[in-house]
Amino acid sequence: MARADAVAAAASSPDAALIAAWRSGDEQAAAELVRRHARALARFLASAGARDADVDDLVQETFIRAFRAVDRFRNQCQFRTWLLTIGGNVLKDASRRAKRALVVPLDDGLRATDGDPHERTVAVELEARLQQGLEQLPRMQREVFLLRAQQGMEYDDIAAALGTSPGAARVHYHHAAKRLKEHLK
Amino acid sequence: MNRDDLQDAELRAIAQGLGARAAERLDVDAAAQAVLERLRQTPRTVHWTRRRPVWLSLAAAAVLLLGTSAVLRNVRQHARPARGIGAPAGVDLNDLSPDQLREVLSTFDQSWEDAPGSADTDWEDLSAPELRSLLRSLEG
Repeated sequence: MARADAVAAAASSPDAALIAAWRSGDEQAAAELVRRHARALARFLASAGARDADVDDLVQETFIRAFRAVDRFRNQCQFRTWLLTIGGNVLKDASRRAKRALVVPLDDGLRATDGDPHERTVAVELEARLQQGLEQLPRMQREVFLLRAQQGMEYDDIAAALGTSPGAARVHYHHAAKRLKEHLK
Repeated sequence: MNRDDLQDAELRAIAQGLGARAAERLDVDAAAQAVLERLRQTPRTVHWTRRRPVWLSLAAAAVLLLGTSAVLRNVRQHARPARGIGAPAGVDLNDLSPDQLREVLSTFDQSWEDAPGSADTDWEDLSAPELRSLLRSLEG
């Protein structure tokens, strides 16, 4: 019962309170942060080129790194933005280790059966082409684009997480968007 | 809304669909438990394990340096007399000219100086047989 109360309390706390609780050793706070941000992280990782089969492990590894480095998080940006940039580093390290090409999960999409088959196929093709375009972008442009377009982050937040200026983040986004539009034509 | 805005909105819409399947498949509760389990396995030891290689590497480097210099000192002390009592391996002293014999001896000048009774000897004046004899005597 006490555990259920702790879980409920954690679920209603803002990220900052959960982070402070985790720093004090509260495991439920860490678990709630995982529940709160894991899906967004999985989407980000998959979009940035992670293979579907690797996403679970990459999500876990990202949270492990984030929790171990939480003393370096000073609320300079949203926790999620900071977490996603750590995810980008984890993915880069994993890709380097595996020395494999990033894979577009087109087959999984084509197996999807929900919605109109033709519309679904068109959507999947567009997603696949966008993902191919993303893979051709420099890492900074790719991450800024995903943080902005997919995750809806503000430029200030993105800039703080990536250690750049909001103006530079905006430029990265526009370069990325321009190249991706060209790729989708 | 102009064409660029429309394209931007389309681009964002497509981007928001990316990774949706991976996110749906993820079991967040299982992920949370797995993360906690891994954190428990290495509780707050990350700072220790990350720092350890740094000081451990420095300590290992220092030990290696000291050990190597001690070994080299030791080898030098023992190698000089050893080298001094013989010509290069596989070389017959009878095949060497007087100049070559002097050259061999000159490379071992330290040993020569240390050799008993050699302090006042000027081997530049020795003949070839004398030099061979001297080298053979040093060979023991």
